Amino acid sequence: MKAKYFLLGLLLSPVALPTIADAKVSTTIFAFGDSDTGPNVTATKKGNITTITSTNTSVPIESYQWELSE
Amino acid sequence: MRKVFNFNATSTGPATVLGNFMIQQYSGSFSVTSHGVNLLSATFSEPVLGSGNQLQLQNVSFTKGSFHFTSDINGLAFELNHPLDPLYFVAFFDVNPLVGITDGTFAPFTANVGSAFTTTGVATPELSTYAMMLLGFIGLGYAGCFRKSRAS
Repeated sequence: MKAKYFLLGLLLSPVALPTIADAKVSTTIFAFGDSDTGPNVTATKKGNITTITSTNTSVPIESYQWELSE
Repeated sequence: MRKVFNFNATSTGPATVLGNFMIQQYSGSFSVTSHGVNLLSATFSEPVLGSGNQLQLQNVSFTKGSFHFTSDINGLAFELNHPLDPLYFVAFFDVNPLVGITDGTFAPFTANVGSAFTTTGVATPELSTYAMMLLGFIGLGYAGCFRKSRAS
């Protein structure tokens, strides 16, 4: 009988987890740039088409949580 | 370590006024590299939305378009390409002159740039939380067992 309740406890553990795990979280995993480095994108207009460009602009990386692969 | 940002986006539809904002669809690509290493690159077809001195290329809420990320950083592109609602924006600050529409498209401007990439995941309990729950259930099992044996 003890073994029955013990096993019931073990079996119920994973059943209860989804309600706790349902909470969603947002995580910023990569961020770059700043507003102090001067203009670094330029939008030009040709007729009714606008092109936004930035070429070889140096930007700081604010954060990333990942390791570079070897 | 110098990080280099390259960005190129061309409008693919007319700019329109949406409430207090102006919006226009763009297609293009960007990359952030460091000495030949691809930290993060993407191709996209997304709207640019904004007003005043700010514009954002974004896939937030109703403005979601399409995108595909690549990266030499382990797991980063996978996480951002995952269907579990990654959110990102490339923001143009200090837009000068202020955002305007001429001939049905955004008027020329210069701006600073910043960006953030966010994933939305499910909170997973730590191992210690699992252990505490397991102990709790074992305790309940023993309590039930004890009550049963007292009753008989």
